Amino acid sequence: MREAKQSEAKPRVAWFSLLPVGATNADSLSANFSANTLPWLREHFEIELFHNSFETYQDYPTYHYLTAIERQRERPFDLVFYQLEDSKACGFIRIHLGLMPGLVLFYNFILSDDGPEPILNSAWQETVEKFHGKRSEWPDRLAEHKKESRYALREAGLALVALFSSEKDHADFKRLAKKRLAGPSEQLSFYLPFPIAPFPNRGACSASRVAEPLTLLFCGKPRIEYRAHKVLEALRALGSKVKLRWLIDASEEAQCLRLLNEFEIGNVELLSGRSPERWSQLVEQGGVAVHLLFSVFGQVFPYLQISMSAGLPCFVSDFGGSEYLPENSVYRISPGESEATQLTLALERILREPSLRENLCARSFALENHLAQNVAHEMVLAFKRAQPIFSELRGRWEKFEAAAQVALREEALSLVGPDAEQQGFIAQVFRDLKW
Amino acid sequence: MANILILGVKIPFVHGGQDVLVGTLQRELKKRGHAVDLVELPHSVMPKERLLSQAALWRALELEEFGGAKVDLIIATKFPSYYARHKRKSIWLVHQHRAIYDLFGSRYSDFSDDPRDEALRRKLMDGDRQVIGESAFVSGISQNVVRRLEQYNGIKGETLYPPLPLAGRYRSADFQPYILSVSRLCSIKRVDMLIKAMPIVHNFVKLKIVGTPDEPGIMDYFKNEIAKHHLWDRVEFLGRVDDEALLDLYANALAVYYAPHNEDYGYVTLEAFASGKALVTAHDSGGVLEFAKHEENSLVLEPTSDAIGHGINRLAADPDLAKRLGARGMEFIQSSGLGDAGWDQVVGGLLSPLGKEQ
Repeated sequence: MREAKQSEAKPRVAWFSLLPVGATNADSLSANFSANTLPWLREHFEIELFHNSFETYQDYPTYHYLTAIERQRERPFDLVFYQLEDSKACGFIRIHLGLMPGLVLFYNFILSDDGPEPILNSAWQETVEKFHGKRSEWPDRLAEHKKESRYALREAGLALVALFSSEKDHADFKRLAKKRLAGPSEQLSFYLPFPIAPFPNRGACSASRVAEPLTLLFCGKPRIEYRAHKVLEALRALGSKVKLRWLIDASEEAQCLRLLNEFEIGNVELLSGRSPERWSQLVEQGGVAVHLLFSVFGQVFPYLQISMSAGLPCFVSDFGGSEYLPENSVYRISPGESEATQLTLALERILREPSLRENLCARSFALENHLAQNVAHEMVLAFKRAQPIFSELRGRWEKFEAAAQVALREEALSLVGPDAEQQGFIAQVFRDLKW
Repeated sequence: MANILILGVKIPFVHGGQDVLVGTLQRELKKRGHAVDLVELPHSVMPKERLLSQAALWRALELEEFGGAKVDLIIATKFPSYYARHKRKSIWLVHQHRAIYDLFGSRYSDFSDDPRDEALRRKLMDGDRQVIGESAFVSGISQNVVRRLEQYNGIKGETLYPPLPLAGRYRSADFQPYILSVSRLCSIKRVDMLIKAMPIVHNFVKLKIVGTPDEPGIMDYFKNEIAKHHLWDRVEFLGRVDDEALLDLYANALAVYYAPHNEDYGYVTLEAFASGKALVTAHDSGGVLEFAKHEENSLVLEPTSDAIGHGINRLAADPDLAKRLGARGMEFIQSSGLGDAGWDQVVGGLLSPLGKEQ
C-alpha cells in the first residue's frame, strides 16, 4: 500500500508594496499589480503583506513594514519581494530593500527624486564591497556619497534578484548595474510584463460602431511630457469629428480646463479619478487610445496594455520602451514639430477606414503577454527559480548582519570611554539585555 | 504612604514638556502624602550609538533601597528611563525613541540604511519590548502614544492625560494683535512654518515665540527667514519665561499656534483652551488632535505656511470667530477633567501596582 504523500507547506513570501487600501493608492502601479496577481499567487505561496500603514488588506495577513523583522524571526520567509515605482510613497520600499534584501520588481529604473532621508547619503557601494569581503572597514559615517545618476543603481545593487516591467529598463540594468550584492555567478534578472485584468471579447467591428463619432481616449497628465498640448492641437484640426474623453486626477482639473480653453476644444468630457479600473471602464466603450510619453521618467503601462487588450487602436511615442512593441500593434508618433500633424493624419485615416477602429493584433499581444493569470504564472516560475539564489544570499546577508551587530556593540562600548572596567560593566548590561 | 521614585530624562540646558510633567507629578504625589524623589540622568541623542550605553546605564541602576528606605515603586516616563529595573515599575510613557518608529524614514530621523544603524534599531526595538513588557502598569500620556506602543511593540497601555500644569491660574483677556507660539525650538515643532507664514499675514499681527532652541543651527535658520522677509519688527523671541509671564502671554494672545509633526500630547493645546484662545494647528499634529477640532475650538489646517497664514488672517479679520473658538475651548477644559481633578485618575493608575503582590 502506498503511503499518502504529505502536502508540502507553501513557500512563505514577504510582499512589500503599496496596497489598494483607501483612495490614495488608486493610481499606484504596485497596488494595481498586487490586486491583479495576489489571488493567483496565494494558491502557490503563503503571502504576508507589508506596507507603510497599519491598515489591513482583504483577508491577507498585513503588517507595518517596520515589524517585518519580527515576522522573519517568528517564521522565516523563503522569499522577500519588493515592488518599486517612481513615487515618494515608495520611500519605505527604497529604505527597506537595503535593510532586508530580496527580489525587487522595478517599474522604473530611472527615479525622479533622490529618495527619503535615510538613503540620501547612502554608503551602499561600500556596504556591497564589505559584503563581498573587498573591504575590511565599515563605511565611514561622516563621508559624503554623491549619487551618480538618476538610475536606481543603489536599489539595483541591493536587489538579490531584479525584475523589470519594461524591457528597456531590463536592458539598461544589465548594462549599468555593476556593483551588486549578488555575485557574478548568482546574478538573475527577469522581464515581467505588467498584469491586466481580462476584457470580454468585443468581436469584429460592427456597423453600429462605424456610425459612432470617433472618441479619443486620453489619460495623460496635463504636463508637457505626456504631450497633452500635441493631442489638443491635433484635435483642434479635426473639429467636431472627434470627441475627447480625458481621464484625469481631480487635482489636475484646473490645468486641464486651461489647456482645453487655450486650444478651443469644445467636444470634450473630463472624467475624474484616474485609475486602471476607471480606464478599463472607459476603453470598454470603444474609441482610439492615445498614450504618448516623451520623457525618461514615467511609463504608460498599464493603461496602454489595457487599451491594447480591448483591441483599440493605440498611439504611442516613438521613443524609449515602445521599440519593444510589435510593429503592427501600435501607431508610433515621432515627438517634435510634426507630432500633432502625424496624429491628425492618423486619426483622419481611422475616420475614413472604419476597419481600422479595431486592432486584433494589439489585443492578442496584450492578452498573451499581460493577462494577469499569465503574469502570475510567470511570477511563480520566477520565484521558484529565484528561491535557491535568494536562500544562499540571504544566509550570507544574515552573517553580515551579525557582523554589523558586533561592530555596533564595539562602537557603543568605545563611546563609554577607554576604561576597561567601565566598558566591562556596560558590556555586562548589554548581555543581560541580549544586546 | 509609599516611597516613590520618578525617573526623568534630562536634556541639559533644555526645558520642555517633560520637565513640566515630572515636576507636576512629583508635586501631586507629595500632596497625597507620598515620599517622592526624582532621579534624572542626562540624555543625548547624538551620536546615536550612545543610545545603547545610556539605556544600559538606566538598566544598571540599583533602585530598590536607599538608606534603609525601600523604594516601593518607580515611575518611568521617557526613553530610556523605562530600562530601569524594579520589582514594581509603572510607566507613564511620554514617548519612545521615535526615530526608530513613527519618524523612521523621515527627515526627523537620523537612521540610515547602514547595517549598523539597522542593528541599532533592532536592538532598541527588542529592548523596548522587553523592558516595557516587564512593567506592572503601562500607560501613555495620550492615545497617540499608547497607539504607537501597541502598533509597533504589541504592548497595550492605558491613556492617562496629564492635567494642566497651572490649573486654576489660566485667565482670558482682550486680544492684543499677536500670535503666541510656545514650544522647544526644533524642526519637529515646525515654528518655521509659522515664521514663513508671516509675510502673508496682515501686517498688524505680530508673532511672539516662547521657547529655547535645542537643535544646532535652528536659530540661524529662523533668523535667515526673518531677514529674508524683513520681519524683524514682527517676530519676537522671548526665550524661557516664568509662569506669570506665560499666563499673561496666553491671556492676551489673538490665538495660539501649535502645529508640530505628529505630537505626542501637547500641553500647549490645553493651555490655549484654558486661556480661552483659539488654536491654530495642522491635520498631521498627532496628539493635539485628540482635543483640537476644526471650526469648533481650533483651525486645523494643511501643514503649509500658506494655509497657516490664511488661517491666522481669518482670525485677525474676524475677532468674533477667534472669541467663539476660544470660548468653546474653555468649555471643553471645564468639562474634560483635565484641571486639578484629573490627577486622581493619573495617580490612581500609576500607583496601582502598589496594591498587588510581586
